[in-house]
Amino acid sequence: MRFSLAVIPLVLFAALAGIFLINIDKDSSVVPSVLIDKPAPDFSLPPLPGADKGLSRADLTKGKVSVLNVFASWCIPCRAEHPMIQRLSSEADVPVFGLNYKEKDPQDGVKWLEELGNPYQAVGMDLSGRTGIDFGVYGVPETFIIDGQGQIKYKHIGPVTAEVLENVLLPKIAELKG
Amino acid sequence: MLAEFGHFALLLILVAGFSQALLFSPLRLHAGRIVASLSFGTKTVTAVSGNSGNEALSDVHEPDTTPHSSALPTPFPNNLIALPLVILALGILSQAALIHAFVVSDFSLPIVADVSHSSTPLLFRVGAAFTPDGGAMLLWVLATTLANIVFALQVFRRASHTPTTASSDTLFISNALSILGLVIALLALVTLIDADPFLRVAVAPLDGRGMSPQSQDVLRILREPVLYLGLAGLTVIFTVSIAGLLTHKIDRSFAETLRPWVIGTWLFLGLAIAINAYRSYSQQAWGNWWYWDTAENSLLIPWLLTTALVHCRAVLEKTDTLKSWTAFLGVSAFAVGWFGVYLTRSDLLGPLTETLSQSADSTALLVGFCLLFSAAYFLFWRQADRMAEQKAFGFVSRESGMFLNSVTLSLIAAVILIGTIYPLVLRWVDGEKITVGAPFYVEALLPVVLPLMFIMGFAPVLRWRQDELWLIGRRMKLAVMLSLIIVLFVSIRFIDLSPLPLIGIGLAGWILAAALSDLWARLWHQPDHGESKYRNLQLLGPRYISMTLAHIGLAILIAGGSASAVWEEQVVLSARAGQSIEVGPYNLQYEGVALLAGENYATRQATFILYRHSLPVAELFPEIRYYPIRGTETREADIFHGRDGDVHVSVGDRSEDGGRIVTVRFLPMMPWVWTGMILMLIGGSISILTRMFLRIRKNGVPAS
Repeated sequence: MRFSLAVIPLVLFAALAGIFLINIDKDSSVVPSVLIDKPAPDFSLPPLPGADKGLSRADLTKGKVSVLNVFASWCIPCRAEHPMIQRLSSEADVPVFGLNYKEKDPQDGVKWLEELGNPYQAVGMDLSGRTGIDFGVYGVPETFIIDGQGQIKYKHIGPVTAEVLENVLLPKIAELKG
Repeated sequence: MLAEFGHFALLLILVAGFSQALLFSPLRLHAGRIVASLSFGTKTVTAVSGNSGNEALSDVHEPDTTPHSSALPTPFPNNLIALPLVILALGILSQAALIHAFVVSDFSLPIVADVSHSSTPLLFRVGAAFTPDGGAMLLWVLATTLANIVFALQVFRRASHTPTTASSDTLFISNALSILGLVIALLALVTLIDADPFLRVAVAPLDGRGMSPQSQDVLRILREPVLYLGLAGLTVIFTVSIAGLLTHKIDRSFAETLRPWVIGTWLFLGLAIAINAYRSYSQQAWGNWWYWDTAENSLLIPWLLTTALVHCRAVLEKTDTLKSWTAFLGVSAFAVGWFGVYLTRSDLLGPLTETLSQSADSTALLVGFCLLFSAAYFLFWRQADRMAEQKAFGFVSRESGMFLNSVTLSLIAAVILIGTIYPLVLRWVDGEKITVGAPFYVEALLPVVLPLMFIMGFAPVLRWRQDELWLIGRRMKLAVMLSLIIVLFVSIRFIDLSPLPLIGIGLAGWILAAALSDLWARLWHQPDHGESKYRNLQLLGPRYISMTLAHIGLAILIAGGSASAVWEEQVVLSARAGQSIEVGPYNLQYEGVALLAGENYATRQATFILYRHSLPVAELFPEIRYYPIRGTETREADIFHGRDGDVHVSVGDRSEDGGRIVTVRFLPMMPWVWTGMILMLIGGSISILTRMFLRIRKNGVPAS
């Protein structure tokens, strides 16, 4: 058969399909975050009513790997993941910080932690959601792993399940601790 | 329990789709009459020789719709429709089961728990059923089953009205139905593998995670069915094209079969684009109507190819040329439609806001896409050359004008496709993250769009087959003069206007002037002896009217788009209650903000009174809504559509000095954009509706 122009669509299509098929596994399950490997944004948040210590960027740059968990009392998945955050706090031997995101009433967060237990070393209260925006939070809960220099190394969106904790977060923390 | 019925129905669609593929497959037709008589009952598929099926349909203006005696044998008996009907019923059952689960908030289905909440209003609970992957795929399946039955009715009606059908026609129809069945089965399979909407979890959460606030909007919900009806139309165009390639039957009757599908698809996709544009215009504070984002592009690309198809299909029907080009566009339009669904449904280009926990898995969607279309393009390669073009057309002719037109439209689609996937490919190649925005598209598209608009002006006045340049010049005299006057007027009146919008407005004027002068010429030429000039109006015909309306609509859209971008006035300030803001010819008074409760949100609603010449003309209520379930805010702008432009008001946070951030924009000629879109859609509808109306009047039966 002589060469025909009609083969061009097939070739182009094959090339396009090839590129997409090869990359099918690449970041299709991990939501890409522009913040990965970037320094955590600068922030300074007040403490929950009754607590003495708030949260600021300085807490994340003390040379130790740390975890920042964004939660809210109005968020049902947060309630679901809470036992896992408690496990994380006890098993990983890293400071776990909480970012209490957009509460209507500052007391809501306090009541929530009283009821479910407080795994956090310190909690910052982000009533306006401004710090959350800087961290690129678009749905609660979210969990960040931050290295000792304050660089965001990993971001998990959605509730932490036992599977995520064991297969993703703990290995990642161990790897960063070296 | 109902969800399990739905699940089973979806499974049955898979089976029934494959059955349809097998039942009508050419293999079976060749396999012998025993099988044929078993599954078809009485009638075999033997051709009646000596009469070509083309003949009955060759006169495109008056299709043969004379009812013939039903005693005449038809190529397919009544049960041609039975299987598509069953598939449609299954599709409806399956979709109804899913909607029921959303209505009763059955959170044991993760799909419901993920995007709905018991406090979500009923209308949005129904709408939420379409937003997650599984629900959207199911809607696509349903729309395709609907297209399937409509197509079966179309060919059935034609077969029963044509006394004898050539074997090539029979073969063509059964091929098309077979492939349509295959596509339905494939879509059902992809749905089941990728995003099975009917899966249950053992322990249901107490409540859902809530619907994305951005999706809680009537227009947004309306968009989904319209979009998937468009995609279903593309599916039929695809299957008809493949069947045409398989049976070497890309001719006038092929074009006739394709006609309602091409125009219907063009309408539905266009409507989805218009809804999308108005939605982003009215929701966001920065209120542009077009962002070049993935969701928009993945609608625009198939729409552009369908527009190209509208033109070259007309050429095929009229002159029996451009065969392989029509087939190529028919296959490609569905390819880019499917690919667009893949791009928006997978989270390749940024996360979806609809779902939070489940990351989208769209592997099967991609694999199915690759399999189906590599087969299709392979077939195109093997068959395209065999369809020799028997006739040629002159370089200066209507055909070449419309061919060039469809080529430029395809080029535009290709540029947008490249712009959409380029950031993705770059990220895979060297990890760099870039975004491609409006500047790229403007620069890359301009060299293609300008000639397209130039051709658009005079292509409609060209004669078929062969025309003379000097004759065109004579016919276009009036249009050239009119458009030059428009350009001169605009460039003198607005002396500091940069060249780009001037070109846009000038070319819009050119299209408008060309369309109007042609209309003028047709209406006022000397009618035949003894007839009144009213006859001229009748002679125009629905096709000409719809084409002219669509062209005029596009001209108005382009003029409005260029003008509103150039002459836009924007004021951002921190306003206090009672403060007056001047914008364009209007004066806007800020009254303050009230805290109100919506059904499932709290809202800070600002009140503005709009004055023109110190007379109040409207009250505007932009809002900041807070949806506690997801803990997110949406900003709803409010818009006043004035005669000479839109006033677009949105409010933001409280500023440090105690005022409220207010963004007011005056967009002159913005109503032109919406008018243009509506005119284009009306143009398309006229073409379809008059045909349906005529058919109903003739036959007394609704057209398919």
